Amino acid sequence: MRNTILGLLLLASLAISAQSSYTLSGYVEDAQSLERIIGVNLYLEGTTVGTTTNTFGFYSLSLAPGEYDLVVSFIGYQSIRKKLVVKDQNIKLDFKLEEEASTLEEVTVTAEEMQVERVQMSQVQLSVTEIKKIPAFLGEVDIIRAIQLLPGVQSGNEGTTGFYVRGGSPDQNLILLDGVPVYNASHLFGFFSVFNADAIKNVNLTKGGFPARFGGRLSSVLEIDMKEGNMREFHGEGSLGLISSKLTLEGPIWKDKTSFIVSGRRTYYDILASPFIPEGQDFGYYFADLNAKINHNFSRKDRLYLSYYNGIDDFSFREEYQDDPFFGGGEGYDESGLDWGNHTGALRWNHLFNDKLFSNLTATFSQYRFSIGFESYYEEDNDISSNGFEYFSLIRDYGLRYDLEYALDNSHQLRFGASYTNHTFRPGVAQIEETFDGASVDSILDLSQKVLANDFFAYVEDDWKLGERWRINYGLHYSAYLTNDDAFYHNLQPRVSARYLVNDRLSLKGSYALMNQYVHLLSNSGIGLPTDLWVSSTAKVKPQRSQQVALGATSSLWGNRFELSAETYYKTMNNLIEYKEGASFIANTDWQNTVETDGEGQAYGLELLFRKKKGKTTGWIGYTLAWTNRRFGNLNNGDWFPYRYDRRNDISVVINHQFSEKFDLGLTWVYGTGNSFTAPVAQFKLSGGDWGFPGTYDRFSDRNALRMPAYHRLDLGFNWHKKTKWGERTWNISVYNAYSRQNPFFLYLSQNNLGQRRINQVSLFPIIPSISYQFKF
Amino acid sequence: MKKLVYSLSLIALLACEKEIDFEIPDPGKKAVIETRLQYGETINLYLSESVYSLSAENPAYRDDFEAYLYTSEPGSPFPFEVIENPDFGPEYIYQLNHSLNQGQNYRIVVRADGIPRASAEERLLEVVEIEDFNYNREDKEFTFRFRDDAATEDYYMVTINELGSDNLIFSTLDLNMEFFGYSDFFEDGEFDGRQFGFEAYLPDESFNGKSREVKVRLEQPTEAVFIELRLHHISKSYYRHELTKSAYETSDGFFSEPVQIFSNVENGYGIMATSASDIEKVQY
Repeated sequence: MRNTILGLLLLASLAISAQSSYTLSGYVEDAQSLERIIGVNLYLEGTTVGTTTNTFGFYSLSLAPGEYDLVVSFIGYQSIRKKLVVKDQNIKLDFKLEEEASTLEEVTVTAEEMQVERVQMSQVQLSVTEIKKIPAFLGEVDIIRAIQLLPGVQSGNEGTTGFYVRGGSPDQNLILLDGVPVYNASHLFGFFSVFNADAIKNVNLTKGGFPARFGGRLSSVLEIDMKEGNMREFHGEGSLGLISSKLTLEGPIWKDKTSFIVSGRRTYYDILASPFIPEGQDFGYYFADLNAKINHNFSRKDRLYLSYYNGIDDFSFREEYQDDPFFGGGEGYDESGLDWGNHTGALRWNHLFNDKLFSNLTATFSQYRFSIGFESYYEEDNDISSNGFEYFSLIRDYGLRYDLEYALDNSHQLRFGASYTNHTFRPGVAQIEETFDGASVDSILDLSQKVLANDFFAYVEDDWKLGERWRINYGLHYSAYLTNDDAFYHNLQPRVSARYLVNDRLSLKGSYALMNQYVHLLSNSGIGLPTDLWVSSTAKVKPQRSQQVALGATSSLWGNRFELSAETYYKTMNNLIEYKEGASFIANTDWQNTVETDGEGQAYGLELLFRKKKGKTTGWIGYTLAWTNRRFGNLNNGDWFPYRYDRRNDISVVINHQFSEKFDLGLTWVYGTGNSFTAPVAQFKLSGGDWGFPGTYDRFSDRNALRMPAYHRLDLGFNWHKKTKWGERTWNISVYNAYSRQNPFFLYLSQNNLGQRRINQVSLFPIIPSISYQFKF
Repeated sequence: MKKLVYSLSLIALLACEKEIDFEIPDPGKKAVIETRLQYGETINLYLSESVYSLSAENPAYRDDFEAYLYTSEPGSPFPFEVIENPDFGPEYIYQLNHSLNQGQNYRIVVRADGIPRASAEERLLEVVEIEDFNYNREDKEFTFRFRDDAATEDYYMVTINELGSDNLIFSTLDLNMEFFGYSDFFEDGEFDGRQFGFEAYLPDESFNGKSREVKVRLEQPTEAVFIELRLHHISKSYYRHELTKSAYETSDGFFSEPVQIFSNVENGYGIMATSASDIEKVQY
């Protein structure tokens, strides 16, 4: 198969050579660390011929013989201009970009490919440098919180890191860390995300117009790339914050050949609280992350990356006791705990077959496990009795993916590949251990059927420049899914995006994507709790499916220093699932019996983004006008109802101003229409309540028919940088919710002292100042 | 600095919870109908009024409703008579001695001063016969079969009763049977997946049109000489009402969606349910 592909591509190459075209190809790297840079813009000055580096910093251009001025540029780096003479052979040319000494000067944006020129719509890239300038919550820079500030992306409840893209639910976001799916991106019940910003290089969010290489989720793809590690020098960075500290070390193992990066983060609430916990008791919570990556450059053609992530949340409570001697004088303890975490690993091999054909082979592992349990132990006169119970759920993937990119000519950039993933789903397993009078019982009960699934997809995609004005990305994505309960689904998903360049400063874009999703997240709350269960499509539960159409315009303003984009979208979703009324994650039956499977969804809206990327003042203003509704046969009388996070208006303002090299100030302000909710509108009696007496029950409004008060909040962040002998240190002072707005977390009905029923609002976070110390060497 | 810390702490404490002015739409007072029409039994109807959720009043049973049963028989509608309930439970019972026929539609209409007219309609289902019945007296275990009608969506309820009296607790290993009222998986010492309860419900979605075997075990000792196993063929409305009522009562999900108790009453709340039962009587 591989030989056939190579043969076909060779023929295509020969055909191109027959037209006397030659290939300019190579890598673009950071001059200091030799890390390869993603998305660098390379173009021939005075023409529309150009390309960008891929995820691994590789580029390829086809050029006819002649003389050219090549410009290589990327935001935050000094541009390179190079005279090129193409005669009668291919050229291999690598570039090393130097970081800009200062970003204070207003410069014309010739860096990265302008949004106006890109065919891809509904996509936003954020650099970690940009993210780190956004005011931090409790001193923790958070990637997902930054994502929530983009138009079309909504936060859930106050403070949480779940995100909702264009009316989709959190499980419809494919979060890829170095190409590996991360199933639960939350720490501390969602208040922090699992991504340690110090270990991250790049963040890229796609909300629609999905190219054919993406699949498996309906609403978005969030690609997060870990740093690779400095090939030349040993460096470190870290921070000390109010709730956590982190440290990142990177450097060469073999100079210019092999590098490593390792980054760890841990909270210390449990350690700080331990002196105040009474004797005989132990109570604690912490979360911790470890990111590690090694990469080795075998040659210009081959490079290997090994990356690993492990994150854990652990909550525990233990109480020891001793009986009064009158009652036997025995002693024992009760212990309970809740823990969850992700493990991911990726081994990636880049191979350059020739100047036009680049490949990446990735082997992946991903696991998410949630566990809740208790244990009771009692010993008296050497008689031991104990019992324990653990309930856990798990999803585990092993995968292999092969992606190839072929620069056919300057008009066609082909991508194709295939992927296979083996999923194991264990949505509900109870383990019981009991010891009494020396006899032990240990039993495991799979409350829900274990599902093994084979998930395969293949794709082909062409980025086609059609003349000076048109550019089209079109492709097909085929996926197939087979489970051990003999469910088999397969699906062909067409994708197309098109751009029409009206002039240098304005382009019009449109896209269509059909998406399929074979995994589902069963959630009681919709706020991303660890108790949410990942489950598979089965013979009874069909895959989710969506279709999305988007239209938009992008414009560069005022000498390309500003960008304005407007997009409208319409998305339909089918085969959504949701718990039946009152069902929950701990059920004594298979999960398939506890869900409604006939859900439909629709989402539509308008997104505006006004962004400034360069100069002393950078940032954006985003606005979203959106509607999103759901319908299930057995919920809300089968009528459409607003989705929990249906939010009509959503505004985010993100501004960073750099006063000098020493001081910068970040500001974010967000406004959102209140979340929809369901509340009691009446009370009534039914017989057969407790002990047969009539009970009083609430009659609720239609589902999510009411609106909480609006949400708005101002955050401020102030950074004071100072160069030291050993590197650089930064003091960060952040203020979350600067004007202490009492935003609604939830509302409930209560009775006041006068016996009147009233609505009470509970808010979570008032003004929260924090300070952190960051260092870099 | 001290003042700043004090001010910030004060703001933090005040920020947590507050009473707010929030207008919840008032649906007005409505009639609440509650009845289960059972083949071969007298009709008992409970009627009460609802109140606005932010009102200081409480919902109450009333004795001044006009209530009628509409059928296709001559003489329809048939008025209910109200009596005081001699037992615990609702204060008043609206009663009607009327012979109910399987397969026939019935409609109840009620109205009272200050309450708009409300109604509910339901079909009385046919009895589904118990087949291959067996009772193992030593283990107190019942085994039987019944045949489901492929043409209709059916719901069943199984109970074990003292003769003509209260339901008794029984158990099953059958995971497709659902206990709404009392089902405590974790407290079962055997940890074998056995479920317990007073009423087990069984929708036909997994055996539509087929013969279905049921195996249940009596768990509650009784002084009764005879006990009955009852297979009730119940209306979908009844199933959904009981399911959602139980879910309402057991729902403790702080962030989860509240459960709306299913109602088939037009312009009111509550339930008009129907059932038809086949009964096997055995010596305990």
